[in-house]
Formats: sequence, structure tokens, C-alpha cells
Amino acid sequence: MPADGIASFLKPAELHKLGRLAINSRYVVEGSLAGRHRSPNKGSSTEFAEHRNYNPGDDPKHLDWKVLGRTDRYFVRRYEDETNLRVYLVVDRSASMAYASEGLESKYDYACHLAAAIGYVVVKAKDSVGMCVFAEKMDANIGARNSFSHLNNALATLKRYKPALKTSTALTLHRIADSIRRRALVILFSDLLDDQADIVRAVAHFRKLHHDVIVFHILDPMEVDLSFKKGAEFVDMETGETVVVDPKAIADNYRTVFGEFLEGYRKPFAEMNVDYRMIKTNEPFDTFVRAYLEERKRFSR
Amino acid sequence: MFLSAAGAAVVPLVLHLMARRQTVRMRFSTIRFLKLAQKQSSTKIRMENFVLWLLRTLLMLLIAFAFAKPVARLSGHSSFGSLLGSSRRDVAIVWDASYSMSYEINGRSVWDISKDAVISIIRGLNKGDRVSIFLAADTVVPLIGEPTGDLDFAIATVKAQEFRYTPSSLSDATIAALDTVKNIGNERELFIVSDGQNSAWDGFRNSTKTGAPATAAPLPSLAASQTHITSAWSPDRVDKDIAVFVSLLGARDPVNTAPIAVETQPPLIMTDTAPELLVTIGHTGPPQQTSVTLFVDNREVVRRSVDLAANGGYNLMFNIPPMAAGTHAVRVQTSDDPLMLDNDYLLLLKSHESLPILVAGSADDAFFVQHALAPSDKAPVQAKRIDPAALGSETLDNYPCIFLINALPLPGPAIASLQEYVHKGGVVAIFPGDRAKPEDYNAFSFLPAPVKRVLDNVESPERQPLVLLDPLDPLFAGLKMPPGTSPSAAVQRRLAFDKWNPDAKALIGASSENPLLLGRTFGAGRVLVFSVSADRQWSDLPLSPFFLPLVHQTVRMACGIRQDKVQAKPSSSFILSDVVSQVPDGTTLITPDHKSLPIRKVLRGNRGGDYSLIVDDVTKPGYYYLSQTGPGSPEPLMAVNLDRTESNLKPISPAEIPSVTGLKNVTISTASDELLRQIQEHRVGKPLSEVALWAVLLLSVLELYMANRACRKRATISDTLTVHASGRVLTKHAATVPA
Repeated sequence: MPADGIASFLKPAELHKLGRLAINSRYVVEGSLAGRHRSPNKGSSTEFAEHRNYNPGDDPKHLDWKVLGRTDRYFVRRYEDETNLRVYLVVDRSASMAYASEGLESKYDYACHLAAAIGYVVVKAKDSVGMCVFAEKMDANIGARNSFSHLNNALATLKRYKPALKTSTALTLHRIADSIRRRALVILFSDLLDDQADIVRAVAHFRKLHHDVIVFHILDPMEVDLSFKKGAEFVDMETGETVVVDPKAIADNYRTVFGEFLEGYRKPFAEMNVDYRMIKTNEPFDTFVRAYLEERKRFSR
Repeated sequence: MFLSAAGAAVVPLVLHLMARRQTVRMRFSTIRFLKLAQKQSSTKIRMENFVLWLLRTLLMLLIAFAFAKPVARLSGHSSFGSLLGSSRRDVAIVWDASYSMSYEINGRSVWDISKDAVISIIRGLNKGDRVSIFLAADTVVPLIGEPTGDLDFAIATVKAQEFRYTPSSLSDATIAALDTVKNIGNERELFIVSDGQNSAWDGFRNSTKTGAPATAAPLPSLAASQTHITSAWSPDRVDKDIAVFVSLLGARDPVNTAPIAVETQPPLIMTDTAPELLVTIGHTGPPQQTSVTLFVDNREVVRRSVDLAANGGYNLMFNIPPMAAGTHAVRVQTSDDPLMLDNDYLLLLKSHESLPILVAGSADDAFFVQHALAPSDKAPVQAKRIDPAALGSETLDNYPCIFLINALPLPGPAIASLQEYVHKGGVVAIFPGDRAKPEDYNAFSFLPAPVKRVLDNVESPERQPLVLLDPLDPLFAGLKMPPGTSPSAAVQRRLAFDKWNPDAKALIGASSENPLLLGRTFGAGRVLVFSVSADRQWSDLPLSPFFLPLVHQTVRMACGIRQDKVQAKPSSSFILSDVVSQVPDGTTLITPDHKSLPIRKVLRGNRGGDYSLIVDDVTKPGYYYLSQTGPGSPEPLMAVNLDRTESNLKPISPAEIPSVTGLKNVTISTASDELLRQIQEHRVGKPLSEVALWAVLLLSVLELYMANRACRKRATISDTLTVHASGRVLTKHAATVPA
């Protein structure tokens, strides 16, 4: 049964919609339970994997008699070993995540909703979910467990945190990568408004450790389109710096600059097989989750 | 006062400066990208702001400028005073006074319209300015020949004027007018006011093409109020500082129909003759139907309907019933149209019960001629025979034709009278004889050729064929020879001629080198010289069946020539001697409107005779009478018709005028108000308010565009980037999610 932590982020109708969804890892992962995810370990299972030569001492029940009849040679059948998925939700709570344009929730709140939905899907599918919250440093690192009460506690922890004043995304991501011992699915919820090259290197660190990585790039529509009607003095939420601009006057150049920023993530993440997704906070998160998980499931077959 | 409103131009600057200080503070996730974008746009933004400020400042300035109603004078004298429109001015006006100016447009004649325009030009002058005015008629009439500053007098003079019944030559009047605007210390203007009828500009065309003189030398008896120009038009006559204005006030698409010419057949009309009139109709304008009516002695005889092609002509033949003896007034009239003056063509037809012909020669010599002229008592020709010595006592003008039959030698006065008679239109036919020596013939300076000698072929007379060497000569008009006839004559003696006069020609003979009859046109008349006598002494010509018709043709030709002399064209100085050789003292010429014009006798030089009869101001078309016969008499002296040159109302195109006159800087108008506006712009300056307001409009549109450029919806990243519902970002070339 969903606990209070979950209830603070997800409504019953949303939970119902999410109940039938599942998230798969695109790569082999290591799990402690027998589940539906592929394990790198080969062992007894119903899923045929490959043949190997018979060695004296192997259990004859695994001999492939058909191959023997055809080739007059002895081969033993090997099977895939299914295990459960370990998913880590890494949520950015840097100062810039507090930005919200008029009528919308902040990027941090949106990220929390999204993380809650993903976490629920994971646990519902009997997979394990863990959580990291970071800003300038790793503020929370909750291990992966397969229970709703664990998810509830993790979300309650998440709810206690508010966006910080500073950020150090890349460095903290490196530490998070080092803290996850076994292969897992790492989902990053961030606006990625830090040093671009450092963040890409940090994500590459996860891939180097054979983790499957999903990056949810959460942005406010105003950040993306800069559709302000009047000029203003803009104040940076992290550094406090100001600049007076007329958004209409710089619209064309902003489009170019921000486009390069987005491409600066999309391209390298595509090259390192990181599943990069861009979400604006004006899009219903449940709709996004459904569309995302269905697509992910389609492409993983 | 309005220029002080230009201070409003500082408002955009103040507003721009104020706008900079009013900014809202707004928290944003990161200003990193804003700074980058601003850095790239800063120069462009500064330039756009500057352009906007400039546009708005210019708008304020132009609006204040427009309200101040500025004017700019772009032409005229280059002095400072002239820049302010305050220099003294000399103005010459050439005013077309031809009869085509009587054309009516909407109930007003072009003449009245042009009169108002001329008065407006004068009224536009200031104290100290001077004006001269020249009427362009068939001659130049200097209304005000010397520039005058008395503008009221000038206006009164203009108001008293009427158009003339003549064509006009604008080039002559323009040359005269330019002579009055030579003071280079003043501003100078030349105005040509006309209806735009094309032929009035021929003087410019012909001079600029050939350099030929515009008119002939003046007669010595002209009135002092006229001017003849003897030098050709050249555009170099117009100083570059003279502003030239041409105003064409006539209809752009005129319509006019008029009888242009009338030819009578036969030229000799007897009481039993039914003459024919060949009428030529001229038409300007679109195709239309008109009616042509023939009146004889004010009675309508026949009316015809005619379909006229656009700008075309038409020939009509009218038959007139035989008329009683006497002079009959004939009038050919076309339908009413805007130019009424040329709708009537007047002529006088003289019907003869009998025709007096003078035969000077002895009874024997003149026997055959007399009998040829009057073969019976009922013949219409009355041949009066006189002795050659009695020639001096005869009034030669009473006879259309005089036969001299072996009449030479003649005394000097008789020869002079004969010469004058021929010059005025008479016909003299000379038959040689034995009385004269070759030198006796050569006393006649108007013979076709001097006589060299008399050739004799008595022992072997030559039979010469009588060939019509010039069948088209008027002598042979209407001559009908019986078919198969080959006239010939046996010649025993004949005159041999020396070198012919250049305008002489052989009319009958075996060949040109051996002519039987020589002819020469002299003045308005003709001289015919036979090489054989009128009796059988020199040839058997009188016995030839050709002799009688030849004599009658001579008489018919003479009557045709005389017939024309009763038609005349208007002239401000009319030579009455061309119509009648002498009149009793005290006689006056009565005009169609019953005015009495005195007849002046003017001594003349070498034309023969003592004096010419001159009448001034024979300008009105109509029938003219001598006072002794009185008006209303059935015997009018002559019919005066307009010179139909101006009846072709084809207008000159305004665009042609620079090329026709050779003047490059000429201002042309086609309406009075346009002329006045052009004068105003030239003298005071062109108002620039409209220009300024147009500039305001254009700048406003530009400012609106510039100011709202930033407000236009621009493409955003969301418009240009494809993001799937699942968050997958697609580039142009991306198709699937990486595996």
C-alpha cells in the first residue's frame, strides 16, 4: 500500500496509471533477487543463452540431445540468469532548480514528482530503488531496497530538502558514481546548469562503471524560450549577478546560444549511450512518464 | 511660429533616456546564456535604438516643418532677391489670336478662356514689373510693343481685344516678344498662350529644320500697327535665364467639320448652264455624320448627309440649276460644331447671258475668230471687234479674254495696259500677222518667248499634225474632239521663237521644237501666242475643225481664271486691285457687318499701272460690296473666306513642344489653373508642406516597423527543436533513440 511519502507526491489516480508500467534496464545488471532483468551471470534458468562443450562432471540433464543426434558431438545448454533491477534516483537540488515561471511549479518540485513516479514504478515491479540528493555536496544517499516503505522514507527525505544556494553538480556526481558498487540504473533529475564539460565527464564516469544512465534534463519553459514580454534586470539565483536585457532584442541570439547548450548534452550523451530526455515543467509529468516508459519498453525488446 | 514646434524633437531623446531607467528586477535560474546572447546582440541593439531615436526625432522635425508651410524656389534668377521672389520682372506675352481660338468649350470660347489667363498673368505682377503683349495673327500685332509698368492699361487693352479671322504664326510673335525682354538685370518670363492647334507651331518647326525665313518681305503700304518678322526662329534667341511658359488652353480632343475648298465646273457659266460644285469637306475628330447644305442667293437648294471617317475628308458633288444672268451668292454650309466660324464657305458665281470678248484687229484679219466666237446670233459670246489703235480707250477689265489679231505693233501705253490686264488675271491670245516685225513682238515682255524671225515655206507648205502637247493644261479642260479626228494644218508661214521664258510651254504643235501655240502664265493671267495668223495667209488653221473649239476653250479658260478672282482670304491689308482695277473716287468697301472701309490708293513701283487699291481690315468672312452698288445688291464684289489652315484642329502634343521649339526648359500647362500654379511655383516657390507630410508618412511607417520588430513573434527553441512526448530530442538527422 502506498505510504504517506508517496502520497505527498502522487495522487491516487496517478498511482493507478503508473501501476501497470515498468522500467527496464537496457543493459545487464546485477541484482540480488531473481527478477526479470538480465544478469551477467549465466546459470540455471528457463531462458536458453548458449552451448558449450561437455566436460566430464557436468550434469547430463543439461546435455542438448538434439545437437548430439545431428552432429554426434556433446554440448551442454547454458541459461540466462534473471535478477531484479537496482535503480538509483539522483535528484539535483541546486539553487537554479528553485526557478519557476509564473503559474508553474519549480523545477525541483517537478523533479521530485518525477522521481516519485519513477520510484513507484520501480518498486511496483518488485525492483529496488535508492536515492541521492545533492547540491554543493551529496546531502542524502539512500541505498536501494525493494519495498514501498523504503520508497516512502526516501521520498519523505526528498520532501524535507529544498533547493540550496550553491551547486557543484559534476563533483558530486563523481562521488555518487563511486558510491554505487554494483551495476545499476542511475536516473539523474537535474537542470544541468553547471559546467557542461564537467557534467558530461561525470555522467561518463557512470557509464564507465557499466551503469545504465538516464538523464532527465528538467527545464522551465521560460528558460528554454525566453518568452518574456518586457525587458528587465535579471538576477542570477545562484551567483546574484545581474544583467539588464530586452529579451525580444536578444531572442535570436539566445535561441542560438541555448540551442548549443542543449546540443552540448544531447550529442555526447547519445555517443555514450546515455538515455537523454528533455522535459519542460509545463508538461504533465505523468503523461511524460507513461510516454517515456512505453517507448523505453518498445525499444528494449 | 510653427518652427518653434521643432523643439518637440527633443522629446524622443528624453523618452529614450527615461525608458532606460525603468527596469524590473527578475530572478532567473542563470544569466549565463543571457549574457552570452546580449554580448552577441549589443551592437545591433545599440544601432536599432539609435535608428529609432533618429526616426522619431526626424518625425517631430518634419511635422513642425510641414506646419510652417515652407516654400522652395528651384528656378529663376540666381540673385538673393530672386531667391525670396522679390526681384523686378519683365514679362512678354504672346497671345494666339487665330480664328481657331473661337472654338467653344462648355459654352465658353477658348479666346475668352485665354483672355482670362492673360489677365491673370498680368494681375500676378507686382509694382515695378513690366509687361509687353503681342498678338499672333497672320502678322504680328504688338498690342503693347514696349514693356509697360501700367498694368491697369495692359489689362484694359487685353479686355478690348477680339480674335482675328486669320491663322497665326506663333514663332513670329515670339521673336518680337523676345526683343522686349532683354534687360538681364530683371527677371524675365515669356508666356505663349494658345489653343494648341498644330499649324500655329509650323513656324518653329520649319525654322528649326531648314532655317528658312518665317515670312516674306513686307509690302510698302502696310499699316504701322503691324510687324513683319524677317528672320528665322532659333532656340538660341531665348536666353537661358528666361523662364518660358506655354499654355495650351484648347480642347485636347477637338471636333470640327468645315468645307475646305469648292471647285466650280465649268468655269464659264452661262444662263443655260447647270454648273457643278465639287466640295471638299475636312473633319477633325472621331467618325461622325454631318449634313452639308447648299444655298444659292440664301435659298436652300440641296442638303446631303455625309458619314465622315475619323480625322478624314470627303468630296461632295452638288448640281446647281441654271441661274439667271448676274452674280449669285453661293454658300456651302456644314452642321453646327464647336468652331462655327468655318462652317460656311462663300463663293460668287457669275452667270452670263452673253459673254463680251474683245477682238482687236481689222475686220478681215479677225473674220475667222469672230465667226468662231459667235457662229450665230444666238451665241452667248459677244465678240466686240475694235481696231488695234482703239485699245487704249477700252476698259480691258470688262473682258475676260482679248484676242489680238495682227494687232501689232502697239503703242507703249497699250502694251502696259495689256500687261497689267494679264497680270490681274486676264487672258490675251495673240495671232501674228504681216504688219509686225519680230522686234514689235519683243516689246511685249510677257510673251512666252521672244520672236526670232518669220519663217516662210510658201513653195512647200508643211502639213503639221496638231498634237496636244500638254493635254492636262487648263486650256484643254473639257475639250472634246470627235473620235478618230487627227487635226492638222498646212503652214506656209510661221513665227520662229528664240529661247523660251522658263515658265513658257508648248501647248499645240507637231513637236515642242515646232509649236503652233505657246503659252505662259503671267501674274494671275495667261498669254497665248499662235505661231500662225488667224486668217488663211499663213496657214489653213482657221479652216480646220480644230479652230473653233480651240477659240472657245481659250474663252472658257479665261472665264475660269476670272471666276477665281471674286474669292479672297481675310487680310489686315487687302489689295483690292487684285479684284477690281479701278473705282470711282469716294467709293468705300462695305463689309458683311455693314461697316464702310475706306479704299486707299498707294503708288507702286514696277508692276505696271499707277497705283494699288488697298483696304485695311478686310478680315471678316462674308460678302463685300462697293459702296456705290450698296449692300443687298445682287452684285457683291467678292466673297471673303477664312484661310482654312486653322480648320484642321489637330492639337500639338505638349510633349512635342520642346522638340518643336528647340527649348529644353519650357513649362507647359493645359489649363488656366495649372498655369497659375506653375507661375506661383516659379515666382514664389514650390510649397514643401506636402513633401514634408509624405516624408512624415513614410517615416511613420518605417518607425512602426522598426519599433515593432522586436514585438514580432520570433521562432523559439520549442519551435525549432523537435521534442517527443517521451522527452526524446530529435535533430534534423536523428531518427531513432540510440540503442
